[in-house]
Amino acid sequence: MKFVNNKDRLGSSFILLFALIYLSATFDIPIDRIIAGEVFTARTLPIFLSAITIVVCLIQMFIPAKGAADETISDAIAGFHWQPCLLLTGAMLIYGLTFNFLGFFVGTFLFLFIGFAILKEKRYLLSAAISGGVAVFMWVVLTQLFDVYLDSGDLYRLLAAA
Amino acid sequence: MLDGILQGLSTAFMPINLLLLFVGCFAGTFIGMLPGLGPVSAIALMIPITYGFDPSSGLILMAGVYYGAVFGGSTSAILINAPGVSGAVATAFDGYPMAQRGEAGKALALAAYASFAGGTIGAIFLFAFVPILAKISLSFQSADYFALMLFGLSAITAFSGKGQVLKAVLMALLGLMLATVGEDPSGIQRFTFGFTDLYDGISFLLLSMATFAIAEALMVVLRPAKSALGAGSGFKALGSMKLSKEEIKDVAPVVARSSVLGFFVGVLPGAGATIASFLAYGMERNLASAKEKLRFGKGSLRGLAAPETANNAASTGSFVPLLTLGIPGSATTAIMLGALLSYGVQPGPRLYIDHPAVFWSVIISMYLGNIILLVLNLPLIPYIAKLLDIPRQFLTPVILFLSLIGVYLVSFNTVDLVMMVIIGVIAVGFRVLNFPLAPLLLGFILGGMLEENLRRALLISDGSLEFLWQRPITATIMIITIATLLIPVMSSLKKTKGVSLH
Repeated sequence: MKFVNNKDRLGSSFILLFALIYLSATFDIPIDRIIAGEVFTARTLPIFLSAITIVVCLIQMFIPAKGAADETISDAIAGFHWQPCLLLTGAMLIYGLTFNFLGFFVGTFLFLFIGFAILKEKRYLLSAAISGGVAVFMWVVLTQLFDVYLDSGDLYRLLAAA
Repeated sequence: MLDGILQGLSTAFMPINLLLLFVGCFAGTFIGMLPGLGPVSAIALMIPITYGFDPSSGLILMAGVYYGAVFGGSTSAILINAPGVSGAVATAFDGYPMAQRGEAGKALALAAYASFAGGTIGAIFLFAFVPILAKISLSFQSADYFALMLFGLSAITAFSGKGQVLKAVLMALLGLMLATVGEDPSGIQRFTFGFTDLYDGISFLLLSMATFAIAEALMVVLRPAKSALGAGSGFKALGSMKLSKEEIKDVAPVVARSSVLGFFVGVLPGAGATIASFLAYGMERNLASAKEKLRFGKGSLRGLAAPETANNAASTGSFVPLLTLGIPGSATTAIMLGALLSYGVQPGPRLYIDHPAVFWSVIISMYLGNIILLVLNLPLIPYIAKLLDIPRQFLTPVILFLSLIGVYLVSFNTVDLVMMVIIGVIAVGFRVLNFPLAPLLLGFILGGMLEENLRRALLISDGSLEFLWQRPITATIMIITIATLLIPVMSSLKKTKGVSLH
């Protein structure tokens, strides 16, 4: 348990896992017989990188550096506010996934309004005004000033058609 | 060269470019003032906006943002003891005590003058050294470039903190691995797992925004007590902004020394403004008289001028490897390199010859940026400082939105938004585990160039590794690289020996 509860070792373990998956995927890189004989192929650097990463990870895991912090993971995450962080992450994912449907304006307004609420802002009228203000301001700047196209969204098209 | 300078001057003084520089300085000051959001996030936020611009205008805007963000970082360090950027940490040592005793205005004015002087001397050095270095580097071949990339990566580890060397190496390797996703130089798809969105690789902007802006905003939410973002400015009045003649006389030699030191430290890949500011602070403290030494940390003018001058001179110096060799020396210049590549401009020795207008206009704009910061931003500080009073619950979602929309505006692909959130969450994990993220970004940006140059060098040498020591330039760079890697190991061994002897 003490081994897992060390920040350096846990971080290195994640990178080690990534390097192992990366190495196995390296052998899936398609290389035909003619190219395979060349001194440098699409696999050369990935194989070298994964090999050196695995070695460095093992050194980091089993020979801890002098002067490295002894802080455990439980110490490091003590007092973290997980709930708002997870909710905001979820809100960002939903914003990304529904962007094409809701469109820039509605999506941005809802994301900001919900974001403010997640961070315990109780003045809902003010929140709505700021969300709307930011969405309108950005829309004007991007579309009118920089001539960037912003999709109005499927929802708007559905409502307009109805 | 004179033609190039004239072209650069006419480009930099175009009304639209002057306006962009002003907007950049102003926006940079705003963003840099927000604790956690430094020049990296500020420039990354600008990239989508600059896509429609010509390369000179885009870079001029980014140079303005860079200087503005460095200045903004110092402002929050002085006013609320919350450095917006790591390069301003040493500024807070004496700047904040000055603000506490009612001399915030004087501290801000001194910071601005010192930054201006550092930027000016840095720009003069840049003007003198860059063309010479660019000419020398014209003789560089792929083997030399490969060695340079290795040097750039090794320098990161040399300047990482105690017990952080291997972690920095791992993060740089992770960045290099992520850089191999997508099409390789010969056109073969790698690590795409059938996802068409990965065919062009991971976007640099996406990675930088996720690892810096998104991760920082989420960290603020995770541990609000440790963040000063939106915690309020807490100061009542700025006080006078005037410096007496004696005070100017006192800090003038400090400014001169720190500018030179800052510039040359900034040139070193991986060192940057933070190291420069700490070194300058340490140097001035050592040079000070016993009486003056006692004032350090309690509101000493010298203690404030030294890091402020050095961090600005170092910011200028960090452009040397970018403009002459095409390798970024810091996360900020890595972002600028990414932006340049997206404009179809390859930084390096050819930039000086192929795009003289871009090359010189950027250098000239950096100096103009310093003037704008001094003349326009300083009087506006009392108003800009109001930004620090915006509550955290409003600022954080807006920062997240700006980061997301910034990436979306480049690709217009919502898959990028989802990918960005996932990478942002992973970056938070690394931050909690105390793994540095800047080496990841540098590894990522250098990865493509490193592979291309290694491939060429190996093909030329028919697979032999002799190219690493055949040419004197390559051998010299490799020796410096090995020495750079060994410095932390040697110093660690020396300390261990010292401890065991006592």
